[in-house]
Amino acid sequence: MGPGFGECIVIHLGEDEWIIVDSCSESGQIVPAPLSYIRALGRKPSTAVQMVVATHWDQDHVKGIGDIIEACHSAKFVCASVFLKEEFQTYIEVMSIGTQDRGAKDILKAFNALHNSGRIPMPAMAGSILLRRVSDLAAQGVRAELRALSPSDREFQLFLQELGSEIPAVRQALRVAVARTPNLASVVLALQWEDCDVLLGADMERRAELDRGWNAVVTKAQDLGLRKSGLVKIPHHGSVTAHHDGMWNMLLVKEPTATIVPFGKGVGASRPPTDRDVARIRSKSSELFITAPHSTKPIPPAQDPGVTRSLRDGGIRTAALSKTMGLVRFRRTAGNKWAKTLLGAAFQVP
Amino acid sequence: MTSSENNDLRGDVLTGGHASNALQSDSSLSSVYGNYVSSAFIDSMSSAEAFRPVTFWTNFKPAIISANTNVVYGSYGSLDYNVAPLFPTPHISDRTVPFDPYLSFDELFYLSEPQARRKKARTRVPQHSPQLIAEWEGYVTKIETQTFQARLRGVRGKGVEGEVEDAVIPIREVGRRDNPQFAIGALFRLCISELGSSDEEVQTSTKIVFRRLPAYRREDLEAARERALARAHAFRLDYRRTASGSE
Repeated sequence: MGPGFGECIVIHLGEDEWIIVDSCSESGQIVPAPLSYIRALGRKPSTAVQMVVATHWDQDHVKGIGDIIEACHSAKFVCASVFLKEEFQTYIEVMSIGTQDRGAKDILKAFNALHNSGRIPMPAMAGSILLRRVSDLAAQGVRAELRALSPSDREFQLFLQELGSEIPAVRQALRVAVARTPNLASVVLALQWEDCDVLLGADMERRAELDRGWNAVVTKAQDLGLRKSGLVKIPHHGSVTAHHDGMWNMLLVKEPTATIVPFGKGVGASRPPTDRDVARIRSKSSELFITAPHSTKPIPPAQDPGVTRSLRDGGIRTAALSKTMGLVRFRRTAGNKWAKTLLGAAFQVP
Repeated sequence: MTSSENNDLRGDVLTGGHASNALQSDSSLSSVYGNYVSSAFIDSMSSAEAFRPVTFWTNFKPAIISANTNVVYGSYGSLDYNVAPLFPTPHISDRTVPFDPYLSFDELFYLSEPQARRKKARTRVPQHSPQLIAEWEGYVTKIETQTFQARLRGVRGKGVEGEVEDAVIPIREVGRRDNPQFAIGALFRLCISELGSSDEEVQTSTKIVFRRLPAYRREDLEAARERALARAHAFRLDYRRTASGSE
């Protein structure tokens, strides 16, 4: 679902077991969208949610994650292993001093909630199995399995190096934490049921180096011998920087069903997907869904004309964050095809 | 600072006495801004024996001029309201005394202190105070060659308050004084003010001011590190357990 503010995915493993991947909120709503959704279905997040995954630390993926951790008492929390390191924990502690920005505070709230309740987060590394459910009937084997395909060891080291220079020193002025390049440290997930597979691309992007970005993810998936997925959450809002032929050819079946969650903020070129992105992804998929209408043109804020004129005179461009939100729901029973339901502003690309 | 502020400051200027001659001849007088002085003052000055009135000009409305009047030594009469806050050296404007019409101009003039006689001393009084019509608090998210990107949260203003917006702002908007604060993560205020003028023309002004926030203190950083280490240590157990691939 998304964009509203950010994106998130809610997965029903079966037998009333749920997984929440990332967090976002509808404009003007305090309760994170995944909690509202699960409650609307008549389920109790405190008992039904088995796992909460934060794919990476970026405001459009973790907004309200602290509230989710607090509400889902029995859920395990999964994040990139690098986020459990002393360096990152120090960084979010330091960046939460003084300023009112919620970026670092949201994730600090999540870690504090875990720490105070004695729950220990689970680190996601390339290849690690995050969850496995075995069928009651031994003959049928694994019922469901969730694997992390990233971040790679190299990304782990690079992220720590970068973080080291970001931690403020004594006498430096208070400032807001701004994530620089967290996308490459995001957790790509492969979800496998007995007869179908799903790839959740997070915000992973392409890099030229073989041990970084999608190159590393594809290599790891091949090493693990993963089956190709028929359903994919397109990485990084459909941006061209996340396009990787290896992902389409090696990790996905030919012409899979794809979903894009647009980036509901940004000014100018930083608002993926562009029309070309949509056309590119549509040409490679059998069906393409987008959670909300999207324009690469910034959304003009509803300001007083005098204010707009003054900003324009000063060469200042502003864009409101997207307020529309939609949900694409895929449901299936064993042996059948996916049934799709479009809710809110979601639509299918013809 | 971006501004549509009009530099043609239509001041309504009135001068009298020798001290004011200097002001009159000052070429920078055309930039004096605002209105001041009273006709009462001029009348009184004219009646002073040793005082030779000089030319003055005004387009004041008489109703305004008749307000409570004091004299500022060495410069000219001024209305005692709305002057001090914008006076270049506020203590000068404070040095007002009840006017004595029997005092000769020389007495009047030389009683004042040299600083008060400086020809640079001038009053700048806007006809209308600036009115804040929109205000955001923001922080820098990315710095590029000519521009920087920022996340803004509306603080006040129609269609602004409570809204979250992304913005691209020219770096030239950052004042030189703010350069030390200009960095990724730095907090600033973006304000748009409306300025009225005598001919009812509305002008707007945009201003970015980077906040001088307190610095990180050693004890705060150490306390933060201790909390972080305690948490990271507690989390490390599971790190070892799951590294083997088991749940």
